[in-house]
Amino acid sequence: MSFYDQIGAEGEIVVSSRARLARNFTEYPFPGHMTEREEQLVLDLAKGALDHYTYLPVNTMSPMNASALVERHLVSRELLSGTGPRGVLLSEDESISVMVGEEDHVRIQALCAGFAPETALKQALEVDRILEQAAPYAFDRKLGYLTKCPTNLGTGLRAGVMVHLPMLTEQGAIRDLMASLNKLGFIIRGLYGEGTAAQGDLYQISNQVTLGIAEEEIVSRLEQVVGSILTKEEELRRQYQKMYPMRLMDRCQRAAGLLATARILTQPEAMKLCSHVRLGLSCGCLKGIPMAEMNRLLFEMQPGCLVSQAGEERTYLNLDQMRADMARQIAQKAVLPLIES
Amino acid sequence: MKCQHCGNNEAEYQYTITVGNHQIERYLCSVCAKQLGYKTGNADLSFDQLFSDFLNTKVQKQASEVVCPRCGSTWAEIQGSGKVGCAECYQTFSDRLLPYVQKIHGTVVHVGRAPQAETVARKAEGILSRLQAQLDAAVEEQNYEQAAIYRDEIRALKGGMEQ
Repeated sequence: MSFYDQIGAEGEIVVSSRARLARNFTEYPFPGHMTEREEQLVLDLAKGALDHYTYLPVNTMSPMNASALVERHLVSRELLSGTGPRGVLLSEDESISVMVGEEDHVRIQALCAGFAPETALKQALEVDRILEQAAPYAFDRKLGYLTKCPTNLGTGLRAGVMVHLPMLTEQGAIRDLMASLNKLGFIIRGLYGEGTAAQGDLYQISNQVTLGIAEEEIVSRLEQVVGSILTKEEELRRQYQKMYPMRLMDRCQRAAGLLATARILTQPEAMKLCSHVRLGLSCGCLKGIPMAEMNRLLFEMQPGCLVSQAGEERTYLNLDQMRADMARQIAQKAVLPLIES
Repeated sequence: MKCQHCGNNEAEYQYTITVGNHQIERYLCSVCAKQLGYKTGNADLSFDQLFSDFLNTKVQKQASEVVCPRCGSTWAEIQGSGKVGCAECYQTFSDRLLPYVQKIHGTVVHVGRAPQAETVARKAEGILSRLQAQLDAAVEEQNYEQAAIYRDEIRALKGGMEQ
């Protein structure tokens, strides 16, 4: 069970909400300046505090399995790029993941379905309280929680949402959005963070400023900012549907048809088609496919997830076939609504 | 030997830096050395050569450089990577880091949560300063009996905080 198996508030546009806290223990230097023994001690500390979590050592697992964790947003790509003992502690429902040995000693992440950054923050803070019992955190009265990168100082909080914005993308509004979000202390990025392309019209929006603003205020500002983006996207969807109903229906149903019949699907093509189907489901041009299944497809058709599901190394051609098999099963459930002539 | 910064490339340069009364040797690849702001000189310099000539001048040049006593980070390293080496770096380099923090966040004052231990300590400090004011007032009024009570309370609280 993962965040993408559920549909939360505003689930047609907001896939998930996330809160991430960066924390370090005062006793040890920051990652990159630690001995292997110290790295192991920090790891043991976190494992001991969260002994009911499952620990996955990313330094010893196969690259594709590790990649699958990134694709499912349970760990960052940076965690995979180091050496030495490092990994992730996962709660049973995978809604909480605690990375150990990334840029900071621990990175607590809570993921929720839909538009619920406040719930995510609450969950992350609960884990924070458990971890701080294990050893004192590096904290300064003036600068707050001390982090390896000064951009995370203060609260150490990044609150964000993953949103599906096909209409704002089509209207070319993302660049403007980027500029105005930046002025408000927020950032919009592609699906897998900094520098990644917005595959499937999926974006992540999160706060940039972490110091001088309380946790609840960060979340409340995020809610306001994202709220107005949602309104804009919804408005554009309505307008487009009103002006070009047949064009919209054609695009969404054609995409469902392709997904339901394709034998080979590259990732970019599949992401694009999924975006159209997702849009179709939200504006009534398509029925029969639960939105949660579309969300699941978006994540589980990524290469690392496909390989880790198959349990063996595959060639990329086979991956494209596996992706198409997965998509067909879901897209074949699509029902086309009757059109009044 | 691998570069001590990136851990991937072979180290080509050796730098000696001073931490308090100690000297620490750092082995870096040319990419990291450049990134961290060290002068790299001739790319072909071997360790032997470094030891024989280059090192001597280099050591003297860098001896006065401020180094974090905890992790050995220099300002050049922090500037190069944009990241600090440990919590203490924020104190060691506070005069240079704070303007940078101000630029990123528009402030240098944390608002928000603190670890529980910190919250408890702040509360105790508040009580302590109130008791101290009451003690001063009692002494002022020559109410020594009451002052002795405040003094004992302060002692007990301080004892508790130290524990």
